[in-house]
Amino acid sequence: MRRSRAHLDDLLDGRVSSGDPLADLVAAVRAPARPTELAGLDAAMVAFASAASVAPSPEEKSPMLKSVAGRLLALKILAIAAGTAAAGGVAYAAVSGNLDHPNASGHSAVASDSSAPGSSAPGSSEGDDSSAPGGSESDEPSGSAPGSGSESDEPSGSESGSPSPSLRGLCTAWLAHPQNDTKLSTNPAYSVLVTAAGGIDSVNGYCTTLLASAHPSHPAHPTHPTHPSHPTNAHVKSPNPHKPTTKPAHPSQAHNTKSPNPHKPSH
Amino acid sequence: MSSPAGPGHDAAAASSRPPELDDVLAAARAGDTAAFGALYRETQPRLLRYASSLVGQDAEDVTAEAWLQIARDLPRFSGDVMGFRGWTATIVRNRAFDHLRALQRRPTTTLEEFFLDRAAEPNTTVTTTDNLATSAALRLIASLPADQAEAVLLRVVVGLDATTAGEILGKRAGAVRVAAHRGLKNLAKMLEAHDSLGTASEDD
Repeated sequence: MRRSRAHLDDLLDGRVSSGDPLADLVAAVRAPARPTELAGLDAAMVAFASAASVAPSPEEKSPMLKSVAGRLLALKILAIAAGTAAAGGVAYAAVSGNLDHPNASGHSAVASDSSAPGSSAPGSSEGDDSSAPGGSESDEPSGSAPGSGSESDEPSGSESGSPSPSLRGLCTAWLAHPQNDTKLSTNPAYSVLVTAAGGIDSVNGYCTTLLASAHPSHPAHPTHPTHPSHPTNAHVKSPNPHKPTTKPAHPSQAHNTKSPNPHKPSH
Repeated sequence: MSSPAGPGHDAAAASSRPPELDDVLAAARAGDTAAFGALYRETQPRLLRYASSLVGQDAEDVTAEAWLQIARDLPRFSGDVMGFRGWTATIVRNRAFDHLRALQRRPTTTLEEFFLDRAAEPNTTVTTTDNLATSAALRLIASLPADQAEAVLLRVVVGLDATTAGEILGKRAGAVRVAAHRGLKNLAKMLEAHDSLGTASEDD
């Protein structure tokens, strides 16, 4: 069958829905998501919420607190990664390698520095694609949290009793699950949340209240302004007391993308 | 993607880029977990299918790892939805190759060799998705020559425009287009040879 270039372009862009076997093939690989394909949603959301808690906080929260929180949360992410991914090894190293890295706070501070000017792009990072941040897959894999492993410890927010951004994120993730309780309760990532709520049965109510009272779009917690509560401004102009003295040692490979990117690793 | 709101270079984006997604992306970058979940729902099927063509059954592992990185680095990302797809596809691609490297312990293996290896294993299954037709289609695409396979995967499966795909592959948009066209033509030949894909897979 002869195919014009225009027709091929239409196929590539998904503008041809059906009509011949090739169009059917294209439609097949673009089929709507199957539930099983979204199995990692929860883990990803928890990772995101956890990452937010170790993200740059312009003021408050000492670096040490943050790093302890980061370690605790890293453990929990790891637990998820191990559960979700059979080959959790790489994820394990990747996560802990990053969060436990001495530069962790500096690393994330760069973000709020809005330092990635137009770093937008995906890149052809053929050479330096060592995916584990820092290419250090064996890099202190679990040194994580010596003595901080207690699952029930609250990583953050606990000091003052005011809910932390990570709790809000965890709540969002929790409530996003239609059939939560049973399955989620076994998920170690939520142990912090369960503890904060005072028990598994209280989580729904706790989260509903928390999210209602502290709507993300308001600069919610005066005492805990960790959360970049204002979407548009937060990362644009946060005066950054934790400004790193060094570049993140291991920028993620995907950021080095476009050539003129300042994050391009030297190796 | 140096220009965040770059024009649809090859008129590609329009059909597969709902404008509201840019708002979702912005909210997620600002820390909105629910928005991040929405991004995941929109993006993960693309990434998973792409990954399944690269690493087969390990695609879930690879994408799970990728999402940990995406979750961590999203605040540093700047760009539009197409840029986000390209960025995440790059992460998946790099992790997939790391994964293959680790499995095969052949540090010097090239992308071409990866594809050749898989082509040499007819039993390699792409079973990550429930959908037999989807899996069969992905497997067929993966059997193309490497440059064609990746061009088709990034354009069709991930939903990138030719320019963004070219940035990942280190090629110009025109070269991506040519490779993708060749890939499609080869796929059409395979389909004719195999009778119809739909019939074949439904009989499985």
